Amino acid sequence: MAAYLFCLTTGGGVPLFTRSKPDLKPLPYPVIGSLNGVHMFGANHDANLVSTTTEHTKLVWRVYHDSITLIVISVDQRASDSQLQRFLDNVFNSMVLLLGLDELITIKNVERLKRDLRSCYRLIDCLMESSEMYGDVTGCVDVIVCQEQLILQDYLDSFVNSADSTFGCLLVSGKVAVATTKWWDLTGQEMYLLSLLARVLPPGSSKDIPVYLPHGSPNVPHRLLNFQILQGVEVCVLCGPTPSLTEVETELLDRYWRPSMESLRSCLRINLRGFPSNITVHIGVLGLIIMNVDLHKCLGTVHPLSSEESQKQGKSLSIARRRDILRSFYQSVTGTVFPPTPGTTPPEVVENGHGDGLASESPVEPHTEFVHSALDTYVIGEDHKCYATREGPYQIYVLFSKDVPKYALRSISMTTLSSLTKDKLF
Amino acid sequence: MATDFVSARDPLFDLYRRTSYKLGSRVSRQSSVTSLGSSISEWSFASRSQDGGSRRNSRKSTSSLPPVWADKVQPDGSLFYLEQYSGGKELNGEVQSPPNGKAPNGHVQPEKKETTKESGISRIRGLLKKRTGKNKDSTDSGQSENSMALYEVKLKVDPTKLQKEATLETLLGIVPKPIVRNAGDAVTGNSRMRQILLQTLLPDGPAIKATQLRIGDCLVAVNDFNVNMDNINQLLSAIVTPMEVKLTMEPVPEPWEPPEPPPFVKEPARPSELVKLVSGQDLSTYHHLLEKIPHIVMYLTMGSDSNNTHKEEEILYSYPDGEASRRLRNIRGMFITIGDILQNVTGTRVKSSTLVVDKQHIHIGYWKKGEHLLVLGLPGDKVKVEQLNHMVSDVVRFLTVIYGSIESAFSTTGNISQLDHFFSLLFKRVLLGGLMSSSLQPDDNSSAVMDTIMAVPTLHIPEDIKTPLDAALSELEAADFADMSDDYYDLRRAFTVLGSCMFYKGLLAASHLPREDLLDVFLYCRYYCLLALASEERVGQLVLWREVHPTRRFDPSHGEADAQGYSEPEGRWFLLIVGLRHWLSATLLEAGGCAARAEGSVSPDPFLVDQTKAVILQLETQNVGNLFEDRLQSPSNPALSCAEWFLPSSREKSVSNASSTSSILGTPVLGRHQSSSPKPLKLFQRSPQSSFLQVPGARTEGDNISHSGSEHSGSGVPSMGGDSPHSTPSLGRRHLRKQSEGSGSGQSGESGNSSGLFKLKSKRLIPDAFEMSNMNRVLVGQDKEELSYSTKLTCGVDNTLFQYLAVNSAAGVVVCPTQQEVGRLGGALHMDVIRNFYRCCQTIHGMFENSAQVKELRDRNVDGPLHTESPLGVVTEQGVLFHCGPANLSDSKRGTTPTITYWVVGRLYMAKEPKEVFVCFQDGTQDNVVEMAFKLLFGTDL
Repeated sequence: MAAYLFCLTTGGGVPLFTRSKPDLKPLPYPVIGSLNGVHMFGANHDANLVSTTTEHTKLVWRVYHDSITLIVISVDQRASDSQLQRFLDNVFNSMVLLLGLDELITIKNVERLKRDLRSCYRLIDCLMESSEMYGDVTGCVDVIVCQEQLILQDYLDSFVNSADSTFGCLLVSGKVAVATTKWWDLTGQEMYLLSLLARVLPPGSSKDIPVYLPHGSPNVPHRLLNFQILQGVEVCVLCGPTPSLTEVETELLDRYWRPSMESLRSCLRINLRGFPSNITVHIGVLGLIIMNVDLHKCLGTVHPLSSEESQKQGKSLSIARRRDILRSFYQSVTGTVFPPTPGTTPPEVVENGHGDGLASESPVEPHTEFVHSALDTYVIGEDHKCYATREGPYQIYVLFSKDVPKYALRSISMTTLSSLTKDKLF
Repeated sequence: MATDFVSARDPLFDLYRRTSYKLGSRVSRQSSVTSLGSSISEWSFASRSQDGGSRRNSRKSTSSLPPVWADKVQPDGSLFYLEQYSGGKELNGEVQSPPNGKAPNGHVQPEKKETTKESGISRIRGLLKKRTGKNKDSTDSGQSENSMALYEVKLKVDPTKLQKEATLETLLGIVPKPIVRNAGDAVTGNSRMRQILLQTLLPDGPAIKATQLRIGDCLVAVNDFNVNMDNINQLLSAIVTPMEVKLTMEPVPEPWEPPEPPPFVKEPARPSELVKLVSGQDLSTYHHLLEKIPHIVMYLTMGSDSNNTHKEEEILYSYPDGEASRRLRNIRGMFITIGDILQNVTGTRVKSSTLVVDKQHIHIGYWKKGEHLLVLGLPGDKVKVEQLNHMVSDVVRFLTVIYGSIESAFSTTGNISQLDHFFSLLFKRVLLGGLMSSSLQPDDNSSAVMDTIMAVPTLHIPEDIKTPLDAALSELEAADFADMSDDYYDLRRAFTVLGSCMFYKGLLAASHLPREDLLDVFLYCRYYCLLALASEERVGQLVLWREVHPTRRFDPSHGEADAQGYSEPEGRWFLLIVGLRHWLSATLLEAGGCAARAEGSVSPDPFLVDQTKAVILQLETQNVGNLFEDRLQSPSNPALSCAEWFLPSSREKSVSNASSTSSILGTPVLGRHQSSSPKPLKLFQRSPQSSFLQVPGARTEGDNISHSGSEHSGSGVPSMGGDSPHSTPSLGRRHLRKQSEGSGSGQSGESGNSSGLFKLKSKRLIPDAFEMSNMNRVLVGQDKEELSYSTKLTCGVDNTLFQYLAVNSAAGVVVCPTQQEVGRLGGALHMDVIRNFYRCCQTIHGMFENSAQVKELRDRNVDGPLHTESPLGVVTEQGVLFHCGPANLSDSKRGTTPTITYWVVGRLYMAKEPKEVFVCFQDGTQDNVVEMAFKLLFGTDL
């Protein structure tokens, strides 16, 4: 989606970093300068340039706290302003996550900041690729649902307690399997960025890094302790100055988690699918995203069937294409047909200097608002069908193979939604 | 009215026809005009018959009697002449003051209107003048008495002389303004809507003798009884003896009337707001409303030296100059830079930007060519970005058609006032749409989506009404005017008619133009609000002539694939638009090619103008206008349902309704909908596919239907319950159609006599098989109901279709129910549904446009680093389910707690030229039923 990303200081227009997709040649500095200059010119005349669309691309400008300007060039001109703004929010907040807000607002030494920002590159690059996570577009954290949830919850709670903290979660290949109640109180974006951070950290059995929570405590760092229990299974704890990493690793980790190995292994087995094998879905389903808007969690999968079933299904869309379609479908529905999910900061709020992501919902242009609320929607493409429906806090986006007849889409989606949500697992 | 006309006309008409054989076809047409009592006084029989013999001269030199618009022709040959229709038949002849200096074609000086024409004005004119004088008095006195205060008028009435029941018209000679039913009125019981507003005074009524009465005022009380539309006739019918009645009148102020009318407007009939706007008389009327809304159009050049920005050197054109607009103008540097660098960075054309100024979103649309940049800025709460993009391309196309190229449009200084006028109309239409009482936008709801669809709203009419229309246009296009054509005198003709099209009330009725030409014409009419004008009010006379540069000829990308060895002829093209009443006819002419080459400025050919008028008048004589009106007034076809009918509460009500109208119907929905038709059974017998082939006009056909109905499905009807999709045997349908065709040709024999109406038919051996007037005579008064049957698109017992919209980009037309049809269904909830429908259409249409683009890029194999195909690929269908629950409604309506769920589904048919259909129907409708709705696109002969 995003092809180029530029970060500059708002005051001086000094470029801090540039990221681009690997196959694109970097743009020369004068071009970046004039892109920023256009925006500055407008700002001086009280006209805030938000976005510009060309035939195949779209640009979005955004200024954070009068200090950092982010510019993104996307190659999808259908992308909405709010989508790209969400992307820039994610980028900015991952900078906050690692450097703290103070550092970004009061820039004392540009050269030093540039160096410091290098630590964010991996996180930002990860945001620019479309991964198997959907948290960047949904504003929620990716989760998996496993049968052992209750057992694991106990293990996690007692482990986190013993580490003098209330914030902790168990990640199975980067997705949250269980988390403490306090962890769920974090915003969707924070949870997503933390699990993304855990993904991009260099491999190792245990890590201890200072993080600033973009919304919770943007100026006071916490320690994120991260331990690998099994290949693909990690546990994260957010804590204060104590206990030390070695203390936790040597004294607590083994004691609390060894008994849970079996449960963890069975968790790993479902990690691709994302939900237990006793929940079945229709054979025509190629992928789905289910969201709980209230709890800021989403579950996305493109392997909804067991392996035998998928063999029966025969040849169909490639995994990457399924992901792309699902993402794109989600983006085409939210904000246009469905109301936008909260979590996008309107530009005015940010530019007035108090940019906490949950401040208020972005102002919807009157035209996009429907008189009545949309419940369901579907799209039929050449090689696929998509259906989305929402019910209470839940939203489900299902990708079907093109063989599923149109009249079945709704009932299958409904059944899938209710079977995934029935036991309060999700 | 139609009966009156037919009977009254016959003796006169025969006489005229006899003369016409002697004098040639031209006169025959004139005479039909006069006999119609048309509004054009200059066309009096007396003057024309003298003129008849020398018509050949008048064609070339226009010496004997110049047409009324002759002195309005501009030096460059273009013409804009608009004459307002002044209401009553007898009050006409008032020539609307010409557009002043800001008129589309520039430099007309404001001049005093001469009421007398030197030559050829007949006695009728004199009569008219007298009446005019009278009216003038009344206007003056009305004004001097000062507005707002009630005034009283005493009238002597004599009900004993009346043959008919005493009504406003018969007793007082007052024609009230018809009530316009809006959606909410039924609910709110809007009392203002029930007022009696004077529209016309009948010439032989007592009211016209009272000099104080002013057209447009409101009748408040009769003999101190308060009256409104509901009780007036009852009250009047109580008057049985001759007596004097006292009318209490209240002057109704017109909103936004400029404080003082321009000095040259001496006529009592004031130009309506719309007429003023269209003719560009008063550009400042809405100025105060627009002042605060940021909107701008600029034509900028990038070539100038950037150091001199304060001199505004790079602005070649900019409009308007309001405070909010000036702010946008001050940041033009931003637009220039964006236009410049983004093209370099991305390698693609820059389309639009979004700004936030004062917490208000403003969209900016760009169009860049070479060094020049056209910028159009509009606030985000009025237009969506997609809509703006389409408007920019529309504007570019429009300007290219009119001026040949964008550069020449903006660089010629003489064009400035025309451009100002054009853009002011554009802004008013977009920004003030809802505010303006005269509604430049005929349909507030659909206009936004219509702006994004490059297609002409079309009125779907049955074949047999369409055929005379097509025949009339064809005859005009053939330009075979017998001894009056140039060929007859071995001269090369001045123009070739490339094609023509006809609008009725702003809806396309018939088109003989290629798609691109049609769209050019449509854009012209739409952006100059001519369509709105023709649909809002009757036009006295509109003649518009100007040189155009059709897209098809000038932009190769729009042209058809060139046939080998063929190229379009070089030449010049002219657009002639003639409007009369609700009709608007547009003709595209070519000079050069097989016609003579045109040199210098070419002024309109009076002969052609007359011929075009004659076409319209002929249609009027054939009563086609009334049939169109019937079509517009009749329940929509295909049948639509109103959302309210599906609410549980109203369902019960409608059951009682239905049972009162027709006990056969088990279903409340249909019963209510079809209560106007005494034979609702037909609905079931009608098969959907035949919908557009059915001929509501023909009496004979109606008989056929009832016949075949009893043959085929007599027993089928009672078993219609449940949702079983009903199907009329297709055999029966074919059979039926054949029968109707047979009867049609059988009738042609008798109907031949009136075909002489139009042109001299002496050479024509076969009488016009599609003549209507005879059939009408049978029809009128007898079987009005037959006109109003309609077809269901969906099957099953309940008609669940709420609204549809079909776009056929190959033909460049779009079909959707007229606003009247929608309005007739009524209901606040339904209006919400419709509004939502159009909004949703806009979203889905955006998706489809993207699909079309993807497809095109695939075909062209475009692949660049900055271009990736949307993963959704080519989307062919999208549907959205809406829920309207109590939460959606405002508190006042919450008591009823209606809930309704409905789908809006759009489908794209990817052929060579894509077609789109949007339908809106109730949830729970079975899929096969919905499929039937999509046949809309294929059932039509689009």
